[in-house]
Order: sequence, then C-alpha cells, then structure tokens
Amino acid sequence: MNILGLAVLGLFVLLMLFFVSIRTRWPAAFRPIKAYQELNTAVERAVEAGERVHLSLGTGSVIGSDSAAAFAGLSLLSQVASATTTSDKPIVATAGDGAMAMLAQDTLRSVYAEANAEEHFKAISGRMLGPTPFSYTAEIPNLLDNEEVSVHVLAGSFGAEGALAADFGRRQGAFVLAGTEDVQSQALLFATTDYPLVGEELFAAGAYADAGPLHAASLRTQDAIRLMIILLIIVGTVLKTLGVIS
Amino acid sequence: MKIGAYLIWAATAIGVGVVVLLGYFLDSQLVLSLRLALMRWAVLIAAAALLLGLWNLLSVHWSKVSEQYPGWPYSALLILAFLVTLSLGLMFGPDNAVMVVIFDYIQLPIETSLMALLAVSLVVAGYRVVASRRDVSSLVFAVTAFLILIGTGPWLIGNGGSLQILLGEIRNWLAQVWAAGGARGILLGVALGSIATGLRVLLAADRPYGG
Amino acid sequence: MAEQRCPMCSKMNSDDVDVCVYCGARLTPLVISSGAEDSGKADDSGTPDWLARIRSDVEANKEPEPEAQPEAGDDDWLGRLRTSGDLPPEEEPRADASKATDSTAADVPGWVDTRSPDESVEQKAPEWLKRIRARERAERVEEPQEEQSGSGDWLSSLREKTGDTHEETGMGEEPVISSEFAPDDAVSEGEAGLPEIQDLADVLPLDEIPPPEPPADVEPALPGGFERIRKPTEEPVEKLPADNDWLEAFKEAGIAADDEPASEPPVADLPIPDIHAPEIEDVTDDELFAALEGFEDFPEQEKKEDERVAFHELEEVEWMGDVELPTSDTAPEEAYPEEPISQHTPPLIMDGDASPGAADSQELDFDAIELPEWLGELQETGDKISGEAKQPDEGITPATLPAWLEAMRPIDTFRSSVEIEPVDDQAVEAAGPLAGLRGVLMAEPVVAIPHQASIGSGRLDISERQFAQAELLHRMVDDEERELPLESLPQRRLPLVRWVISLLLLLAIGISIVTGTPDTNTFPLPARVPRDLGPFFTLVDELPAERPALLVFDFAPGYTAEFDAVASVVLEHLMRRNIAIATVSTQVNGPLLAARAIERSGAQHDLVNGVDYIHLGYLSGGPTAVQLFAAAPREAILQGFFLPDELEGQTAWVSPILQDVERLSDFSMVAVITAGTDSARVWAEQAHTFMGDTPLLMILSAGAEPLVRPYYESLSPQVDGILTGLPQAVAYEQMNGLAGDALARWDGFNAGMLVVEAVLLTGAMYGVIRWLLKPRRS
Repeated sequence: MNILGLAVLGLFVLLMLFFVSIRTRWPAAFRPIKAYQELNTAVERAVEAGERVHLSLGTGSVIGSDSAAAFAGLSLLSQVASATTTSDKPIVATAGDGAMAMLAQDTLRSVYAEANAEEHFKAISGRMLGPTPFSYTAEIPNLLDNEEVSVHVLAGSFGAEGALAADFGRRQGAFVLAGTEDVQSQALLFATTDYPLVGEELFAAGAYADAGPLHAASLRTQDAIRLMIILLIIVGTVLKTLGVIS
Repeated sequence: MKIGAYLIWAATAIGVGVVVLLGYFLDSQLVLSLRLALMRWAVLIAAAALLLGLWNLLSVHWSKVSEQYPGWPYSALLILAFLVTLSLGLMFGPDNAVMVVIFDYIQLPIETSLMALLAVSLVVAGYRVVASRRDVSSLVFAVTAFLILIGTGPWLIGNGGSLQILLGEIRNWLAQVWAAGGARGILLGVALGSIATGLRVLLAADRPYGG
Repeated sequence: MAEQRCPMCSKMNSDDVDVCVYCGARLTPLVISSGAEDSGKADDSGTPDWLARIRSDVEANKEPEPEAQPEAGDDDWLGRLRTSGDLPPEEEPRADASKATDSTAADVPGWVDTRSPDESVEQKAPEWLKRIRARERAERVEEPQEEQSGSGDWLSSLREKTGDTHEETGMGEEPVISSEFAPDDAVSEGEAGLPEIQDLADVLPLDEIPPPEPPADVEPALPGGFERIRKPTEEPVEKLPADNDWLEAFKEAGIAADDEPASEPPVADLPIPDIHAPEIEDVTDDELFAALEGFEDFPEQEKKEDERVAFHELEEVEWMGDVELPTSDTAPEEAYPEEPISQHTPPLIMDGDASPGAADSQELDFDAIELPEWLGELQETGDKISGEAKQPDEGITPATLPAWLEAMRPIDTFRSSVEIEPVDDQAVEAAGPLAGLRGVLMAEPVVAIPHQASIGSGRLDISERQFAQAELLHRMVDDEERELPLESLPQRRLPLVRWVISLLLLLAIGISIVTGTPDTNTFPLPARVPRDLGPFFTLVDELPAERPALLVFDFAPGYTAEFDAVASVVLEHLMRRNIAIATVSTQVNGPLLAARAIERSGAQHDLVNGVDYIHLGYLSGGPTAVQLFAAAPREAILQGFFLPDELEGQTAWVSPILQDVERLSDFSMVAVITAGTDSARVWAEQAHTFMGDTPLLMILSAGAEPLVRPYYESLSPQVDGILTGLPQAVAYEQMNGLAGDALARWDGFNAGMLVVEAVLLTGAMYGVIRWLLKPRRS
C-alpha cells in the first residue's frame, strides 16, 4: 500500500474542500494572466461581430496521461460556450480523438441546456478533425477559413503540431490563445502565439473563467501543495548538501 | 439531460474513477483486478470512440458536400480518400503492399511536408520574437535559442576550437540544467494540475460527460 | 401695456382694442352715452357707453317713480313683441317660470346668478350703465314719464331694484380669479333661484311671466370657476350682483312692474351680458325697453311703442348672420313654426310644464317691435367686429403661416364657409343635452358616417425647393434600408518574410543535398564525441547477439526525416552485429514506419522477414498497454504485422526470433525511438520495473532530451542510454565507421542551421535598429 500516495491524495482532497468552505471569508486572489483577460475581450468582440470561436482540445486521448489537459480544456470550453450561445455563430470545439470529440459534444449540449437554447445546439459543434496529430492540424486552416473564426483557442494536449496550428490562426488574423501540458510544445507555442499559457496555467483555466468554486479551490490547493514541494526540495537539498541524508 | 440520467452518469464516473485510483495505492487483489478490467474496458471504449469520431468526421464533410459550403470539393475528396483507404484496408489488410504504397507515397510525404512547414513557421516566429517583442521573457528566449543554435550548429571557422567547445558547453549547460530544471518544475505543476483535474471529475465538479 | 381678458374665450387682449383678436367677441360692451358729458365716451374703467347709459337711465327712472310698473304698450320692445305675437299672458310664463323656478331651484346651475336685487344695492355698476340711467333721467325730465307697463318697463323695474348706487363694476377690466367659490351654495341656499331660461319665448313675453320672488338671502352663486372671475378689489361673492347682470336687472325691473314693487331694483348697474343669466323670463319687454330708455344710440328707444320698428324692418344685423327675419306678411306661425325650442333662448332645463313647446304658441310679430338703441349699437358693434375680422391687418399683425405649413393646407378638403340655414329650415334637436335647440350641427352627415374625401383633397401645393428636399429625404430613407455589399476584407500583407526565409532554407538545404555526397562534406564533422554517445555505443556494441532487440517506433510520420537518419545508425549497428530485431509501436502508423525503416536499412544486409526481423505490430491502449506489454508481452500482442508467409494466420510469437521471449527482460535491449517526451516517460516509468538487466535506450529528437535526461542521470537511472539528434547520429556513424543517412544529411542540416542563425541575427539587428530609430516621446 502506497501510504504516502494516499496521504498526498487525501491532503489534496481536504485542502480543496477547505478552500471551498472558506471562499467567502477568504476570497481567492490570483495573479492576473493576460491571456485569459484578453480572451474574455476577444470572445465578447467575436460575439458582437458575429464571428466564430474555435476551441481545440488537442490530439490527446481520453485514456492517456495527456487527458488531463484535455479536461482542463473542457472546463474552459463550457465557460466560453456559455458566452457564445447567443451568437449567430456558436463555438466550435474540435479534437484529435473520437472520445474527446464526444465529450466536447456533451459539454456543449449541457451548456445549451442550461441556457434554455437546446434547439440551437448542433451535434457538429463538437467534431473530430483527424485521428492523428498532423492530420488534425492539416484541417485547421480549412476550419478557420470556412467558419470565419476570429478567436482560436488551443487548450489541450498538443505536440509540435500545436505550434503549426497556432501559426495557422495567427496567419488568419485571429486571436490565438494556446496552452498545453507538454513542455516542448510550450516552447514552440511561446514563439508562435501572442498569448501563450506557460507551465500549468492551462489547468487554471477553470478558476480564471469562473467555472465554479471548486476550480478556484483546486488552484489554491495546487499552490499550497507546490509550496510544500518547494520547501521539501529546499530542505532536501540542504540536507543532502550537509550530508544528513544520502 | 434529465436529472435521473445525470445522476447515473455521475455515479458511474465517480465509482470507476475511485476504483482505478485506489488500484494504484492499494495492494488488494480485488481492486487490482477491477482496475485492470476497467482499464481494458476503457481501451475498448476508446477504440469504439475512434470509430464514432470517424463517423462524426464523415458526417460533417458529407453535410458540407450536400449543402455545398465553401470548400466542399475538399470535403468530397476527403470522403473519397477515406472510403478508398477504408475499403482497401478492409479488403487487403493494413499490412498489405497496397496500404504500404498509400502510406509511403501519400501520407508520409504530406506529414513530412507539414513538419517542414513547421520548421519554417518556427523560424519565422523566432524572427518575429527577436524583431518585434520587447519583453524580458522574449529576450531570454531569443538569447537562449541563439546560444543553442550556435552550440549545435557548424563552425565554418575555428571548428574544434576553444570557443566552439565553450559554446558547446554552454549549450549543454543551458539544455541540461536550466531547461531541464524548468521543465521539471513545469512537469510538477502539470502533475498537480492533472491531479486536481482528476479529483474534480471524481468529485463531480467537472462533468464532461454532460449534465 | 394693460391687458384685458375676453369674456368669451378668456384670452388676454391689449387694452386698446375693443374686440377680441382671437374670437371676435366684443371686449367692452356697447355704451350708450347718457348725458352730454358721457356721450360717446367710454368710462375710464372701460365701461361701454351704452351700458352706462342704461344704468343711468335706470337710475333716472328708478328715482322718480320707484314703484312705476311697467305697462304693456310702453317703450318696451319685449312687450311689443309679446303683444304683437299674441303671446300668452305674462302670468303664465311667469307662473311657469316660477313653477319652474320652484321645481328646479335645486337644479339651477350654479353659474346662474340667484342673488336678490336687494343685495346688490351697494354693488357697483359699470359706467356705461350709469350713463344709461343718467340719460334716461334726463329724458324723463324732458318728456313726461311714460307709463311703464308691468310687462314693458323691465329696465325701470331693474332700476328700482338695484338702487342708485352704481359703481363701476369693473367690467372691461381684467377679471381676477379669486380663490373662493361656492357653485352650489347659491343653489342650495336660494329658495327661489333663477328660473331656468327655457327659451327666448319665455323671455320676450315678459308681461306674461310672473315675476319670481327674488331670493332674499340667497347669495349670488356662480358655476364652477366663474365665481372666481372678479375684480381684484372687490369681494368675489359680492362682486357679482345684479349690477353686473344686466338681464337680471331687466328681470327685476319687470318683476317690479308687474307685481308689487320689490326692493330697489338694481337699475343702474347693468352688468355685461355674461353667463350670470338673470331671470330673464321675469323681465317684461316693457321693462326692458323702459330700462333702455334714454339711450342716444338707440333712437328706437325714444319712439313710442307704436313707433317701434318692426323687427323685420330692422336693418340686418351683422351678428344675426343669415337669420331670415320674418316679414310683416309672415304669419307668426310661419315665422315661428311650432318647434320645441325657439331660436332665441337655449333651453336649459326641460320640464313638463315649462316645455319648450310652450314657446311654440308664442309667435312674435316683429313688425311691431321697435329695437332699442342698444341693439342698434350691437349691430354697429357687429359690423365693427366683422370689419375688424375682415381687416385683420388693422392694428395687429396677421399671423403668417410658414411656407411648409401653407403648403400642407388642404385645398379642397373643407368648405370655405358654413352655410347657415334659415331658422325655420333648421332642424330641432330632439335628444341629448341640446334637445330643443335649433341650429345644432348634425353629426351624422359629417362625423358619424365615414365619407371619402373628394378627389384631390390630399393634393399639396409644394414648391420646387420643397420637392427637392422631399426627394432628398426619401433618398436618405432608402439608403438606410438598402443592403450594402459586403466590403472586401482588407488585403493582407504579403508574407514576404516567410517567403524569403523559406527560399533561403530551401536553397541552403537543397543545394547541399544536390551537390553533396556521403563521402564528402562541406561542413566539418563533429570534432568531439558527445559525452553520452560513448555509453550508448558501448551498450549496443556489447549486446548479446542471440537475444533479439526490441525497437519501439513511437514517432509520427512527420519525424521520419529526422529519425530516418538518427534511428538508422542504431539499426545499422544491430544489423551488422546480426542481432534480430523485433519492432512494436504504440502509434497507429508505427508499424508502417518500422517496416519502412527496416526495409531501408536492411536492403544492404539481405534480411529475411521472420528470421532477421519481426514486426509485432500496433500496441493499443496507451500507458496501460505499455504496462501490460511490459508485464506480459505475449498477452498484449496476439498477432503481428507484416508476418512472413509461413506465419500467416499465426501470431508473431511463434517465429524463431521470439520463441524464447516470454517477458520483456528476455530481449537484449529495448530502444524507444520517439520525438515526444510523453512516450519516453511512459516507457521509462512503466517498463523499467519489468526490464531487469535489459537496458532501456532512448533514441530521441533534440527537443525531447531535456526531459528525458533526468531519467538517464538520476541515481537510479531508468534510462540506460540516450542518443539525441543528428549531430550525435553523425558522431555515432563516425564511431561505427559507416557513412549512413546521418552523414548524408549533415551538410543540409548545417546549412539550414546557418540560415536560421542568420535570420535570427538579422531579426535582432532589425529590432535594435527600429528601437533606436523610434522617435522618443517626452
């Protein structure tokens, strides 16, 4: 039995619940992330101008380790979609995996149901562009051009093809926001995107998009755990340097 | 979605997630067996979802062709290629010479061309970073990239010299210390974010399955 | 400049006009000069001369003979009217009137003055009335007092009742609105209010109308609002005496003439005819004429009764309009057909006895009617008013309509004038509040029944300028509704930088490939062996040849160009050592890539499928599948890929290469060829525990090295060797002494690197120069 793992897991859950309970007394104060701030403005502008928002969930699969980034993208999708239900051109969510495309459809259907606009939901709003990363990326220019996309959001698991997809959006003149959990791809996205999400900022999408109290609480929990790890690293380094531990 | 169905889906997701998660921490044979079984079912479901995704892909392009949206010829070509490839694969098998020809002379050149396009795009992006951006992060990025290139690239003059060796060491130092350390920190944060995302699904705060 | 209020329309007019500029009503009543000093001159307060004269005459008549009773046949034009028309006795109307009064006392509108004449003794009389009375007195001095019939000298009776005190009542001045008002007080308090005025027939035959008893203590009551219209200096209630009520004065004079002399009639202060309707029916015509005696402007007043001008002989009065006067030959019945209501007095209240029909029998013989002077003045006033109406420019500036409004005036929509039918032709209203009246506008032909306007009724008379403006406005409105064509998107700038960079890269790499050869290189080869290359090379070089090596092809087809060069050096090394190779992939296209790579590298070695190499195929399931394969490879892979013919329909595990492989550790080595860090980490984390002594090697792209190196450099490394990028592959080939694909790509790789470095340098220089040249803002 991995007690340490269970302890960390339990601590995570307790901290999340704790931060949820004290959210009114001690409201969360997160540092401003320019990408999310500009995203709100861009989405509003797209809705006003009758242009479409495209959100890509990446090429990761549901059963892989890269599914976490895709789920973070789904949280962002629900919030962005709720703002575009009244638009003439609702949001389009794409994925490079069939299961992720179906999850995108379900998320959009729920958003429309909450907005009492189920009649406006279309199943093709969530679609799979291609089964492989580059085949998925190859369809991006066609989508951006035909659907008149003005906001191009990449929030999911991307490889090197993510940089290409972001570059396609930039050449289209769209607002491009890109984030992934892959470090190598983050470096590429930093160069090709005006609003990249570096590090774990993608997993903060729900908290910054006001997806719910648990999102903010989980972000605060991550910060708390991260501080603990930093302390442990520093302490361990010192002890290792001093020879206390081998 | 009706509230009854929503509860069923939530209960199913929570139950399966808890069992799989506990299977990594508990040594119980029952839990391990359940975890393996559930993960195999997940693999099968993912494969079935792939087929559904392909069906979704076909329906989207079929609607474009039938309603003649802008760019419908490309959608028609996609449907044709899909049907031909599927037919040949079902007919001859994926390891048939025909499929190898299709792969070697169609898919492979297309994807390598896209990779080449990526290389050009990255170079252009690098040029834009150093020419337009005026922030510290962009400056560090540009300097680091240039040092890596210098340390990796050829030396027409002074090949094997001390300067090349020095720059090579700097390149290794940047890549193996700074980049690796930064990547490690990012990976830690990504891991924490993944844990939080998974726990939100287990706590039914995130319901990507709808409801 | 002082202003005066019009009694008809209540609008303000300047003080120097006699006729209202809005409605044409006379602002100052006609004044008959009474006496030399007052002749033809209005009082300072604006009292018309004729009224002053009336008052003066009334006073004059009242003093000598306060109890003089008006007699029929005297100078009483009303009386003459009655007598000539065989009007019913005076008592009857009076009785009717009194009955009406008694029965309808409570129904008398509040605006009807019900004050007793006695109460107005101290009231002020207008100047014009003073003059009337004065002249009358003067005439009476010259002429013997004429006997006033009880029914004729109604004015004298008024004089007796109103008394001598005649002060200006302020007629002609601006009425002042007071705050007090009791419209119903007089009605409620008065025992005998004003008998309702049913029609003029009730008025004319005054001698037949029994004089009602004047209310003793009734306070003058006025309808709503009118009580407030008073002089500023006088008490509102008291300010409305019979002095201001000329008709009531007449009535009282008539009452005094017929019956016992009542109190001093308010003779001199004859008020301006207004809504304070007096008890007209109680005033006989003789009394009326008697009251009007002495008016110089009415020479008819001086005539005897028989000299009175018949009504039909009167000059047509302007104000009478198109009223067709009955001639002498006209029988009274013809002149005044039996109609519910006569044309002279509007019926206020319909009662059984006091029915308007009672007036039907009252036929007036206008031949014997001698109009008083004040009627003549009224005629002149009417002429004056019409004259002023016809000449609106005199004295006031006519209103000028703007051109656009003038143009909008419909031309043929309305008739220019309304034709008034003769009296006898006018229909009598049978229902409604106007029942009994003649001349009521019929609603049906005009209002109730919709009619279509005549053709051209909507034609406007517009000028060219107006037409142009209308066209402009019409065009502007049309422009708003017209759909504008979509503006074409702004032309995007040509991606010149992209084109130039692409061209440079293409040229650099292309020329190197075309001109270069594997044996010669333009660019110098790596002088130093990478630090990590040695252990890797040693591991591969010391692998046991009897155990197969497992190669995992986990990269996308796009990375083929790089891994064709990097992975081929390891494949070449393994093939040269005659180590069997098994391939597997967790990517969909991995088996095809593996087959291609083996085929390319094995072309020089005459490898046999199933003997020298075997493809296990696609491993689906991600990390879980990797863990499963690492734990039990034979359970994870049940078939194969590109199996030889002899193994058709069987699994790859039956091949001679894998017949001894049960676990992952049975392989001589596991080399993961991947460009992504995830795959490397999955294999490193999932397969390490099942590797045993079998080394796990990583053949990586340059970008994945930073994240995999920790697995290699840790204290308990999970990765035993890494080979990163083309430079290390070239070095590997140098160590191996073989020129392979890596060396073939070396010049192109270096040329491309140089171009990239040059582009970055150029961009940096451009950015610095632009920053330096950017104008500084203070």
